[in-house]
Amino acid sequence: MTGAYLNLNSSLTPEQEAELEDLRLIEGLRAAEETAYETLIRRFQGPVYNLAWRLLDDPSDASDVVQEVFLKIFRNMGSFRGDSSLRTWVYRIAVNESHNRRRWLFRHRRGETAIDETYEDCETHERPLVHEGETPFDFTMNREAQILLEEGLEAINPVFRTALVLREIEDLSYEEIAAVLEVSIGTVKSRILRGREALRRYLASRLEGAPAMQLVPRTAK
Amino acid sequence: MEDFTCKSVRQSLWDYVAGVLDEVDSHGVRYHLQACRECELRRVEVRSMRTGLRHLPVAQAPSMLDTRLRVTASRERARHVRLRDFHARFQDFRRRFQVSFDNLLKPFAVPAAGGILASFLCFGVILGNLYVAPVWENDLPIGVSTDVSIDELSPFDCGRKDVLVKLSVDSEGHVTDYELQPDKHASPEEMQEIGNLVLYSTFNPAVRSGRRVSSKRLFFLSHISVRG
Repeated sequence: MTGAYLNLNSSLTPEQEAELEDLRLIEGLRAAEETAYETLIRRFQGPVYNLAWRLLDDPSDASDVVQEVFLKIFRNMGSFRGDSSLRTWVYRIAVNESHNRRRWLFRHRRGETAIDETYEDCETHERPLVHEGETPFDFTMNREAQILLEEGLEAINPVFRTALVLREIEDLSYEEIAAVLEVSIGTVKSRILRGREALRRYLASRLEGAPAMQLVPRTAK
Repeated sequence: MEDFTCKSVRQSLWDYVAGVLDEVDSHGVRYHLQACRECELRRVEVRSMRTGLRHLPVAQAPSMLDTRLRVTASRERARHVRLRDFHARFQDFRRRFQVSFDNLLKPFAVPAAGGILASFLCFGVILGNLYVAPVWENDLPIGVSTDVSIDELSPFDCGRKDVLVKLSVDSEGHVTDYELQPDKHASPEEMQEIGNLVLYSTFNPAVRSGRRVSSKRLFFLSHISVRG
């Protein structure tokens, strides 16, 4: 029986295998299996944290959001109908929680002034991807470019930023983004387009007087 | 995309760079980029931005978050198991009730036990001093019935030789009425002498079932003269 099951699995496409894996995970969670909880945390902790961090720009807020997201997943697993993939469902909860958090912060932290802007655990938060063959100069330039991009992302409208992050950083398809944001594909495309344009304008304005930092290489005349 | 204008091409540049355009559109955009320098510059710009976004630093979740998530997962799993079916819910309710009951009574257990022991101790110590001996002097035994009797006779003389008197005596031992027996007539002086005799004498009242009661009794008064 097991062998037949394995043979059946071997004929599945990667998408079907992923779907089957999701189903097993969901069943495990519904049956309160310890390994299922462990798998869910291992699989989604990083992506959800990254997404929340990109949408909120604050590591401690992102941590709180991740905890809320997982709590909702654990509690609402019974009501998950499977209309969308597990990843889409998890991302939808993460995006909604991040938006709620941002609204809460807007209401409650408007008058607050930070005493210390450095975060204690900051050195463990960012892990720059450094190519091994990169020179210190290239590394510095890339780091500067990354900082500019992050500032650009922070500067654009959160609605457009969410769509842009899901598309360009989390690599979700338009259909998946539409399911996550619960809007039409046309709206998704529109938001992404406007987000890209806003980011491009921001970078262009920042690089106006700094030729050494230009992201756009000049072609020879 | 039938018409590959600068505007339409620039809108599709991200998808073109990502390689998700279909073959016809991709070919059209490529053809336009070869002819339009501005759009080609924009394509390089888009590719640079896309590469930059894809290579943004990956945020490393703090170690505390992992611990918090595992604690949350453990708690939620236990909660899920508790609430899975009716029996589990009942057991959970019983356990919670027992814990609540224990928590409610435990703070009172030591003070209550101490209070009871202290009260026993105090009561035992002062019990001897609290003993009051009952007074039995005027107590009358239940079941004893007696008639009126003379306690002390007054010193007055009745004047006549012998007389039979019917006396009414109340529960306090006082004479409330008297009459001669058999029904004889006496002079006022004689009646006054008999009255002085009986009214100034004291009597023991009659007792019925342990209680002093009013009653009547005949007394024979005889005159005795002693000469010496």
